[in-house]
Amino acid sequence: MSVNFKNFHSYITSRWISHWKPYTSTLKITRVKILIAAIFTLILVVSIIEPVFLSIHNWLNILEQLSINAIIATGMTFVIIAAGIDLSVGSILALGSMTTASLLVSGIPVPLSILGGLLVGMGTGALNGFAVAYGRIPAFIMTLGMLNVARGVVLFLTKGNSIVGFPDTFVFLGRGRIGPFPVLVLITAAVYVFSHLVLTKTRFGRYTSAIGNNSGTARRLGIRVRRHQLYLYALSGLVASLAGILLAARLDSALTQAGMGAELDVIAAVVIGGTSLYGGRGSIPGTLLGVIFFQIVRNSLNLLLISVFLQQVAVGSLLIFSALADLLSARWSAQNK
Amino acid sequence: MKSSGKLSEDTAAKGLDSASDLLEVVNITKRFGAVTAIDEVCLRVNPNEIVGLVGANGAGKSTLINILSGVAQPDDGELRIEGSLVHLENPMDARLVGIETVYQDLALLNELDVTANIFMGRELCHNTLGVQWLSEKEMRNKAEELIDTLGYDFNPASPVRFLSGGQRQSVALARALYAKAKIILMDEPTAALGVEETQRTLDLIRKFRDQGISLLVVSHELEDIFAITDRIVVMKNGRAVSDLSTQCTTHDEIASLMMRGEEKSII
Repeated sequence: MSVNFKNFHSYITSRWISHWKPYTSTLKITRVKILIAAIFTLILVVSIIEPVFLSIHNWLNILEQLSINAIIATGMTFVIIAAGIDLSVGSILALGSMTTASLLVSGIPVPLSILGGLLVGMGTGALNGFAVAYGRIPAFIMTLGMLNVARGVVLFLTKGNSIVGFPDTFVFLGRGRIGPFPVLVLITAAVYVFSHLVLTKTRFGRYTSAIGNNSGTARRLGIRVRRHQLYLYALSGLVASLAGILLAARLDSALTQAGMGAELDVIAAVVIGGTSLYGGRGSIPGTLLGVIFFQIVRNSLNLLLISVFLQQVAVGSLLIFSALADLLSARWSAQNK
Repeated sequence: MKSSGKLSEDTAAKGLDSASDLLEVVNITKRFGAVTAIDEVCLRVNPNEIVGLVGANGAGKSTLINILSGVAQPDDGELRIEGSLVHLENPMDARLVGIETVYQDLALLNELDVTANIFMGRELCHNTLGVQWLSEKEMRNKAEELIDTLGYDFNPASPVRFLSGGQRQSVALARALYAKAKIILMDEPTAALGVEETQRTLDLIRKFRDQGISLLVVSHELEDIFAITDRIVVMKNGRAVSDLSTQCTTHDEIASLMMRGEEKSII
């Protein structure tokens, strides 16, 4: 990798002189700033056209709606930072929620039912990870296959029927409040704090970035790349099933079509939040902003009574646009090396 | 122990008594399909010694380095460190027995900072609630110290993609220094450097030896090889064809061995 030292010499030197201030990537900050600006512009514009948008009721609605995708997005962020992709999250969500639901209705205690759903989700994710890491099947193909397999299993085992009616203690997770705060939002917040810490402060997080940056180099430095990849997909499956379980609690029913198409929204949110599809770069707060941005877009399109079909066009375009932004910024930073 | 002739003197003096060898490569063979990349290569590196490994392109130098660094596994033969047999299944195994490698591309992760690169694979952590949390402050201080030891001065928190060639190399060297390596393998250490930085690197290599670390240096630059090594091993067509004391040989001899592979002293 060639380094054009001259371009940055004076810049770096000035940094050193100023007592070695901790370096933060100017690029990342710019992207996050753009996103924050976009979110505020959107809020401003929509609230002028439709004042209901600013109501507390609408915002709680937005927060609760984004919780499910937000939780999936944490696992997806890890996978994408490691230069992978997981298309099967929507189906694993349904699988996890269906597992927990069937355990619940057959009288298994709530904690055990939840554990069962989580284990199935994690196991399915681990299967993805095993095939990708050890079987060398491209992540795109493996998880696309799993998207169909997991959904098919759900439909087959339930014969296409939904499961409804859960114990109150379970439904509390999706609908309850602690003080003014919805439990769902609190759980999401906890997931975000924890994943942010794991990504930035632990060995696991550091290896995730290292692998995404250059998996061959990571291997040469003694990192067990394949095992780590296996863990990452298992993690993604785990949080997807957690999202599914919480969705079931929120709706008081497990639907066979739950989470259909979630992978698109989630990947778009992660990428627009500054995580590079080429791996090595990304953050959990960025992902949160991306998820918020997407939910606000959807919510405002709803409030503005824009056709659901057109909304799909909007989300798809945003995904393409965010991938393009990622490509351009990668080129930009390559030129400035 | 018999010592006759100037060429075998070296091997005779240091060889045979394997307990004194730091690294011993015995009859290592590696095939890629029908191609035998290295063929029954033997090599030894003594404590406090800089050994140069030279050869034309395709002579098998890189394959040998890959085997010693645990990246590739040999089909045949054995490796010994301080007399005991070692099996290097992966790069971490090599690092654990005291072999550090400074790769030609330096194996740096450009998006990560200097500290993360130095400690990659052997981070300082504290265990809380079953999670390995990074001890960032300790690592940063230690990184600063290591960079200082190497005679450089730059921010351990800056991403390595902003560093100059020499600075980048110092990060890779700091890694080896931190690991308390017994032997450092260096693949083309001066290829990407300017005149001044090359000189600096050669000085560092000598300094490493003076601190009791042995080095195996692969280079195309015979000038550099002659400037720093105690001994030169020549490879040709996958075989180690010659093992000469640097003081007792000449550029011409090495160059002709590289080209013709005349077997003057088979180890």
